[in-house]
Amino acid sequence: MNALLEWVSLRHLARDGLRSVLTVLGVALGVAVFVSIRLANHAALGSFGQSVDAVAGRANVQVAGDTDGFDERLFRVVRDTPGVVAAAPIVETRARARAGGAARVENGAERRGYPETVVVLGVDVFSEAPFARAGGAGPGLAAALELLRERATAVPARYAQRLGLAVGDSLTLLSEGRAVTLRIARVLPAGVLDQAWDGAVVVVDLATAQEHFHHLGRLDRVECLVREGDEPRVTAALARRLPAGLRVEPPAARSRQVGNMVRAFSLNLAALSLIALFVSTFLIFHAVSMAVVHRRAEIALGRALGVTRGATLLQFLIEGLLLGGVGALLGLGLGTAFARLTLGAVARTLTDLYLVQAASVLPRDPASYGIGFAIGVASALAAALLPALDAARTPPVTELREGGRIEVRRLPLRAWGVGGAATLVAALGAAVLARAASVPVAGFASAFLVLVGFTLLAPGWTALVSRLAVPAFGRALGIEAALGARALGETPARTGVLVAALMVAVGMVVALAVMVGSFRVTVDTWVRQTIRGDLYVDLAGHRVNHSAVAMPPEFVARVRALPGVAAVDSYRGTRVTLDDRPAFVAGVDFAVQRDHGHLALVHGDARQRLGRALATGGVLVSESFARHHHSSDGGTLVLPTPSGMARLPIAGVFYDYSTDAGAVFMDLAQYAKWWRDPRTESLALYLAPGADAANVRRQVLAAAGPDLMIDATPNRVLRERVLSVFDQTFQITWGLEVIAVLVAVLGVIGALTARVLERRREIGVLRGIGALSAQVRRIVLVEAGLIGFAGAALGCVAGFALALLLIEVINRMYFGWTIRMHVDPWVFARTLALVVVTALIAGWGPADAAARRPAALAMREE
Amino acid sequence: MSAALRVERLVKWYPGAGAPVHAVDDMTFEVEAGTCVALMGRSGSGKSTLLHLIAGVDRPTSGRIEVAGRDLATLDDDALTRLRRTSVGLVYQFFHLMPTLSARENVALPLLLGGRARREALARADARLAEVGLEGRRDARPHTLSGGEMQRVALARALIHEPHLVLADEPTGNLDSRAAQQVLRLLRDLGARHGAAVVLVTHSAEAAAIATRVLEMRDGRIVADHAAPAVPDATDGAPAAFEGAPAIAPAAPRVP
Repeated sequence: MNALLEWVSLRHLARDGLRSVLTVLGVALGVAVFVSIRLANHAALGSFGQSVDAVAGRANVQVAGDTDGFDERLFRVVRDTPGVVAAAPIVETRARARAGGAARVENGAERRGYPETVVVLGVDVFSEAPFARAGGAGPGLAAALELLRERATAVPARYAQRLGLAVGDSLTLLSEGRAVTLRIARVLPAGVLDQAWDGAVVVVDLATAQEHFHHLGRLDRVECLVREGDEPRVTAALARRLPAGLRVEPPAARSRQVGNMVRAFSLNLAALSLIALFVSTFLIFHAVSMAVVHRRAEIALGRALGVTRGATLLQFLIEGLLLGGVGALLGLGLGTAFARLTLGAVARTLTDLYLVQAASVLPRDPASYGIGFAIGVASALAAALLPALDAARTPPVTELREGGRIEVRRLPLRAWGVGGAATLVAALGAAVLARAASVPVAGFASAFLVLVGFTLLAPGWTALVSRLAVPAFGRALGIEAALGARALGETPARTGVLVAALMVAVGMVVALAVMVGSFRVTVDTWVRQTIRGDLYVDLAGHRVNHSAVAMPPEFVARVRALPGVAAVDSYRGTRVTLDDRPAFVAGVDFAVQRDHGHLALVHGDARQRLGRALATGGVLVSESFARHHHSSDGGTLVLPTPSGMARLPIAGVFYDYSTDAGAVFMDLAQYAKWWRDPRTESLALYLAPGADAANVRRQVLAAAGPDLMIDATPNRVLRERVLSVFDQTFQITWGLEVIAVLVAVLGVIGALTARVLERRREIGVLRGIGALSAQVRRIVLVEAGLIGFAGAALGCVAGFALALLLIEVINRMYFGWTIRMHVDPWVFARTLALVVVTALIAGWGPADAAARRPAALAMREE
Repeated sequence: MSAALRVERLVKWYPGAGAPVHAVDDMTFEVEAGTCVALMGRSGSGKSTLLHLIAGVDRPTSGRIEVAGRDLATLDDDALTRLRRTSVGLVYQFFHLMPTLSARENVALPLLLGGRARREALARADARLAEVGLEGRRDARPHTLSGGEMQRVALARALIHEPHLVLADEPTGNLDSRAAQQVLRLLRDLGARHGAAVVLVTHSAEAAAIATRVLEMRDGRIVADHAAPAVPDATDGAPAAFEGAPAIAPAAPRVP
């Protein structure tokens, strides 16, 4: 067997250098995409967990409030609960920062002026000793008495090094629209805190955090040290003693909740990343099938000389394994490089959509590499199995007659067609099950069945395209076009594999184009309907924080009194945890919404529903919230609040595409009552008819005064911002699809090169009996173009089916979004043209090689 | 009679491990229209190389080849291809039919590649297939034909455009003796009937027997030039020795 491998397999793989390289590259790309997305997902979320662990230190139980935290007087209650060995109060918030002194920015320019996003960690240095936080080998924050000085801070060594900061330097943060300049009092030694948020942690004394970062009298968490094994009892005791809105949980619960929130996003990316790998298995199948066909006589000879069926099977399986294994190994390296590229985009999306700050450094993740390699190798083995079995069935005496390269066993195209149709029916069944019985995983199963169904239809479809094209092309383009078209149908099984590979890649591109196009039209319509305020006002830096930030009441009053302002809607929001996943609760002015806003409701009239909510103290919930938390129009929502459990009637369900985390809207007065918080986070201004928006905006900016930095955003800019976040979210998706198409194109190049080699005698004979080199080139090009057309056309149909599935089932189940189908015929025409042109370009090299091949050389092959 | 093929001082050598290998070494000969010349010699004597040079699919190192009065050295690749379309017919040992085409499509292919209308090309293909006794198998694919049938289809293809010159490279090398005899007779008779010169590469004395003249080759040189030996079996008067083959018209010119 060793000799067989060394003498036969390896030499063949080496001799077919270009094709072997293309196949290996295809597998490498497939594995790379899978690994990179997994690494990026894990890095983004894993780093969140790691950061939580790093900040938590040795704490094993924590008491946490929602966005606004809780009354600091509860600290004593926690500390004095029996079983709590030690307790440390914590304030944790986010802010934009810059090295050096203050700089004035407004209108969304804070990213330029304050380029860093940092986590501000307020600690009580006297409570720190038992927690060994940021200690490294030293005493940690426990001995950081210098933090007690006014506006003093400590930063991790890694962060100080990155920003070039040293003790005594200044670091300025944006807090509630004002600049707060801190002085570096200590650079923390390299240690665990370096791993939290890439080291972008600014540690201040608790009092500093409370005073300068909008937490007067409030805490975000109390971390506790509880004896091992005692956690359940202490957790229960704490829960009994504390108000309803607080959570008592292990620190890791936060990572789990975030993981639950972004699960759909991660799962979708992971599913998409498998597509390129799926396409690459077709390449392995094709490569091993070609090897079997080319070497049929050799296999027969081997069998005659005593090679067993088992050894033949093993030989071809190992060839597939070699291609897959080398490709997978290469893919691991390539995947790491891709991950570095995609991580930024994944992290940005998590921040934009879910307000989760994710780090952008790749951690060591051997499991992802292991799984990527295993999937690459397993798919290669699976792809090689059928052709290897075919090879093993070769009888010891195989006559290679003229035309012997036509597949000896004719593919039962009709049976395959019936199988394909049956699979598509099963896909429909799975989709119906997913939607009717709320079985989300059935949605992905249905998508997989769609791809399998169309794959089974591919050989028959290829034969049909060939049959239809031969007379049509013959009449319109001459004999060489007819010969090219006929070559397509010569080997429907092997050509069908290529067509299937293209179909899968194109199908996903079309599906995504239709889904994203529909989604974008839906979001655009929603944005136009919903964002009706003329001017949106918030504090600079608010967007990274989104929490607990409050506008000075005098500023709000001045804005309300400005001439030209007809109505002001004010907003106050918080993040809550429900059913072990975060959701957003916001207070808005229902009366202003009713009279000026245009909230888009799933059912019913917004004016009437808002009026009813105002009258009954009801809430409106977003579509995603309703789906995730099984709430329905007319039902009751039970919400934990700082004032106890609130039972609120649901007066309506509204469309919301800003996040799938889910949102609850209630009237400001309700919010102020339950959250005991009448403050204002941001404003939407409705102008009086005829008022000059630019003038009002100038007045709003002037009303802020010299110290308060605000953003006053016209609704057009806000709409554009929403759409740009939307577009950015799908950037990775497109990247994944481009790679899947690239893998398919590699397959076409490899396959055409193989086919030209396979038909070298035939080409020589054609040249001998009078075919010009240009005619030979056209024959191969027509074949390439038709493979592209057959794949793309089938892909368009499959893509439409997948788009329906994505829109009507998968998005609805996983994200809770209603997307209105919007089909742009240009998507299909463009994709078809693009793939045919790409296939022609891919076919040019092999076609030219065929045309240039000396006729004598070809004829000498016999 | 005019020369359908003229070869003058033809040389073809290939770079070897040490000295160059002379596949064709200073050959000169002519073949008249309507005659059949057999090129005989052992394997490696340069027969096939000479055939490729005459067909214009390979270029000589030096010397001159004229086919139907055209000097091949003056023709570029496309012009050589066009010359083959109009003036040269090729028959190979392994038949080399297009596996995806039917018998009549294979025969019509040279005309179709030359831009002839499909209807006309197929009509002429049918006529040629009838001449080789295969009118009943015109829609058959190559892999369903016997070796002899495949070579008869190849012969019909070589003759469809009524070439000045037919080059046959070991046309019976892959056939049993009965089929070989049928093909040889057809090659001789149809070549003569269409006025084509036939150059037959073979190492079989039986095959060479149908020729007017035999050129014996060794190491790329002509070492003997003589008339063909006596035909070992009685072929005259038995042109339709196989079932379904048509009788060659009595008026057709015969090889003396």
